[in-house]
Amino acid sequence: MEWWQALILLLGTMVVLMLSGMPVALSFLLVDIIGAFIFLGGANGVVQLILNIEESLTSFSLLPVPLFVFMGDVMFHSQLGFKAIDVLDHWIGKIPARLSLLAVIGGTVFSTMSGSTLATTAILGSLLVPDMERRGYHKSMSIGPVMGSGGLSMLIPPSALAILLAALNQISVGGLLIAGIVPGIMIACCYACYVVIRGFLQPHLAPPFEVQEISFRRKIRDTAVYVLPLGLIIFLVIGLIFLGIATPSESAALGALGTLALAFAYGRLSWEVLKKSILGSVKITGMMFIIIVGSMTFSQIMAFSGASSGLIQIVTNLDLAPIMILICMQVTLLFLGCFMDNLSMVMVAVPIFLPIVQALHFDTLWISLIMLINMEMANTTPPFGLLLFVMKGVSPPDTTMSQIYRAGLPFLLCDTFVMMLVMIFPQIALFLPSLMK
Amino acid sequence: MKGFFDKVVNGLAWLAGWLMMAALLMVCLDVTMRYFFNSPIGGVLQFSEYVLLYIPFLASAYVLREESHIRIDIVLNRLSPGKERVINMITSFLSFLVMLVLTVFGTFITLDYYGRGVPVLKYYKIPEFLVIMIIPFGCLVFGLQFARRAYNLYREYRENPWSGGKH
Repeated sequence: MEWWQALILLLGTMVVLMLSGMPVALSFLLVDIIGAFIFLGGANGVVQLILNIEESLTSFSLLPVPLFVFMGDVMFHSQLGFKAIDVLDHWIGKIPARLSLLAVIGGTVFSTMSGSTLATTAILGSLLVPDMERRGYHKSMSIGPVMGSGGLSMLIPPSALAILLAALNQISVGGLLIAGIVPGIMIACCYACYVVIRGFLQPHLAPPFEVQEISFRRKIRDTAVYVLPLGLIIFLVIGLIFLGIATPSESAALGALGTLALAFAYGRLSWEVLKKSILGSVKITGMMFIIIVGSMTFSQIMAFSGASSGLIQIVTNLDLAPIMILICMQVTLLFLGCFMDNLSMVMVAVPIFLPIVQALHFDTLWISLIMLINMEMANTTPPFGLLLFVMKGVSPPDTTMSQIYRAGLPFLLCDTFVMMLVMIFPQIALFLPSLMK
Repeated sequence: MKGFFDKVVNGLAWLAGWLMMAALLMVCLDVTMRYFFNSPIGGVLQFSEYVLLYIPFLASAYVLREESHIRIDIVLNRLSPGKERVINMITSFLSFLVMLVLTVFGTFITLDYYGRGVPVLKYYKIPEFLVIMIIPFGCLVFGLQFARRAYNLYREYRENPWSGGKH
């Protein structure tokens, strides 16, 4: 079979199955079985497929996935950190669009402790949006910042999806986690500048209100009690990896235990919280891991069928600068992100893109980070971004989907801006990993 | 029978959860022992790796019952409820067949490893069949859950072919 025939067979079947509403993981596995029969030698191919499943999952580097998700679930169900939002609120003072800014700062702080974008968005949304609505904030200034900064959980460690992407791209898990810090903070700064400037120029969108005066002494005390202890989790997850004291898997375990300990110390850890968090993380992990199993085997079958090398030949023979090919890849991902969830999108794209990235001698860590920004954007790209629906769930009942789409748009532009900066200046992503011990 | 199967599915999800918690605690203990006492616990890495294999296969049927497997429903949402149900029925049946193939082949591999006494040569030398057997077992339960889903959709279809259904 010619490589293009193999490509059409594999990708075509996959697209048809996915569009028919078959679970993404099962679409991968069915194509894997067909591909294994044809390209890996009949029944022996299926035996190989099962051995691949075992090999792809028994990897210690994947351990942070369930643990980061667990951390997010504990944070969400125990409402740990809710008080921290109040304390941050006291510090902000009389700045234009202060609640929108609070959403951005709170979202960034939560992102450093939660590996789940859903949990962060749901926490911020349920905490801040009702208050913003009550104070007359326009939807664009209430929903938008919450949705944008909730998505930062994917970029700023701990990030479960960064682990999966690193495993799939066969790069350093710690490196990719640390690489997300600077771009994540840059995006947060862009969001903050945007909401403050817009609040200043159009004050009717975020009406100013009297803020209760809090003494400096009390602010310091509240910060010491409710905010600083959360720094322990940040240190356990980011600090230990950066200092080379623990591997990402070990940091994830320590971070998860630290989250449990803090929830306990604040009197918020109950059997109900633990039960919901355990089952919640098992559910997400089960779903993610079955997809990754299918996707990893799909890459191998693409390689065996000759489809990958055929594609590489076509792309490298194109009269295009490598950076243009990179841009085309990202535009394709952005387009896919409008119709697919971010996990499926990357799992379908990586087996095709990775060989091309390697053939063009791009730094895989850099490309992975750009993909991660793209995955973050896919969360809020209409019409099917996951966070759009989370926001719909936690927004007031009169909120329409088109209001949510419009609210997210300026934040998508901020993401695009930072993604372009990372493309032009790779050091933004690569500087911190280069300092790691 | 239905109640029993649901209990099995719930029990397996809980087992996955407790295995995850065990891995969490063991890794923390291992880091502490290594960093402060220079005496790591052996085999934690090996145990955690097996937990990672066990979690999805123990939990997949539960995830399916909770309808939490990711699906792309842009096309389905544009169809009439009756057509949507027919397509869901077909894809559930196809998924059942996928799981059946993996169960059969996985069982052959497990029996082969058991018969030949193939060991895993890592920190602890354990029989390989104990590791790989979770794949056919998990696929069997997952497949049965798909069969249940397909059967429920078929029953709804028989009762009222063109109305909307739960699934």
